Amino acid sequence: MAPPAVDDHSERELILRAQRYEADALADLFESNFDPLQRYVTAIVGDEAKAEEVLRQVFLKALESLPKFRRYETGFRPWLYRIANSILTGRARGTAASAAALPEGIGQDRLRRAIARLTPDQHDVLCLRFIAGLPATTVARATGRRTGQVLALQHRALLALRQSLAPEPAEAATEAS
Amino acid sequence: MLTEPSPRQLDDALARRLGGATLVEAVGLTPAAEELERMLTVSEEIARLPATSPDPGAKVRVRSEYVRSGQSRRAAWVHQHTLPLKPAKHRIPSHPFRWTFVVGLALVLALIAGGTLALAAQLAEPDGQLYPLKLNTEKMLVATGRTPTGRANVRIELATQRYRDAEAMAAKGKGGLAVQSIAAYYDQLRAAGQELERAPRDAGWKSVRAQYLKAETKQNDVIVNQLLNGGQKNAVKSIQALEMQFGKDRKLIDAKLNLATQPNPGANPQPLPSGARPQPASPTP
Repeated sequence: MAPPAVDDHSERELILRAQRYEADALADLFESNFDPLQRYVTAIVGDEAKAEEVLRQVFLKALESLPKFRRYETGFRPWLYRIANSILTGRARGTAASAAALPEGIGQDRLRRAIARLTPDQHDVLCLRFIAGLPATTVARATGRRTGQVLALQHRALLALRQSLAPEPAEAATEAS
Repeated sequence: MLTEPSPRQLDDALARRLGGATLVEAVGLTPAAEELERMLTVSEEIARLPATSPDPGAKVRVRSEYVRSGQSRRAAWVHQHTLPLKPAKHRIPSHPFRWTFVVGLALVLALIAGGTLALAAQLAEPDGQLYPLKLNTEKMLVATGRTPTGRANVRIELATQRYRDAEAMAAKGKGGLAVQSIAAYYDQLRAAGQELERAPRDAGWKSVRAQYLKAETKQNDVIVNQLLNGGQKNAVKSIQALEMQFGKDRKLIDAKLNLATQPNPGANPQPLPSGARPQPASPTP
């Protein structure tokens, strides 16, 4: 997934107009960001209906927070990703409370559940790095962190996922036999 | 127990993998190779998570709600950011400023006019239009005296002024005004004497009493002679009558002030022989 254009003067102008809620600027921002955002959310959620609900919330939240947007240098799309992450981690916390342990499963569903169990910061960095495909420096700017902090979060997130996805000892023994 | 790679090792391995290296090449020869390989695998599984192709229906539905919300927010934004009315090019000063300015200017003009008038009034003579103003101002001056001695001092000065007025009027041949001034002169002296009677007998009192004595012994010779020269015999008679009356009052006042009454050489002048010209008299020192 190609990283979004940053330091784009035309995008800055577009955002400034959108901050005045000009209809054509809002429409342009929607058209240029919906598809990548849909892919991003669907990859994390894995369910189209849930993804649509998240997308709806993301764009409405973006409209609400648009006047406060100031990260012109990192672009508009990472900002939308972060709104999505915020909504997704809110959802994830709600579901994780009822899940004492990861249910057994195979492949992508299990991976998604493991991602959902990460801390909000780890989830944020991990999804921006590996699902949105943003470089660590861009993630650092978008999240307001130093690059070293992003690398540390990425490291902890992958380690946590690796441990969550490791087969149970009994299962490992069965596989070995 | 696997050795964990450092965050930097992990990021370097991820960069090599993105650069096209195989998993083994990306991991390299490091004690943490095994763990690093597993972490890289997880990261690649994440990147491979399938994103379904964009659903046109979902897009239309989300856009519809987004546009609706955008329109209502636009209306609210326009309402909040209504442009203010363009101000006039040459603004008239606000009311408070204008009134302050006008009142201030009026006060300054009034002060200037009042000062000029007061100065002119102080120079006025009994035949001048501002003379009544001068007398009123003098009354206020007397009222400002806080002690009997102070008020007596002011009245003595005013009596001296009245005497000068009488001289001026006599010189102009205005007998009636000269008589009025002499009457005022004696009135001021009587009032000064009464103030001194009430005043405590201190050093200041003695000084003022000396001034009183000097003022009450002024001679009217010059005034009388000038009036006679002008044929103002009635005025002379009036002045002589006033002089006699004050002579009586003065004895009482002097007694109360422990003063020996001085003879007034100017009092009761002898009528001049008919047809004789009066000799010019030197002014009273």
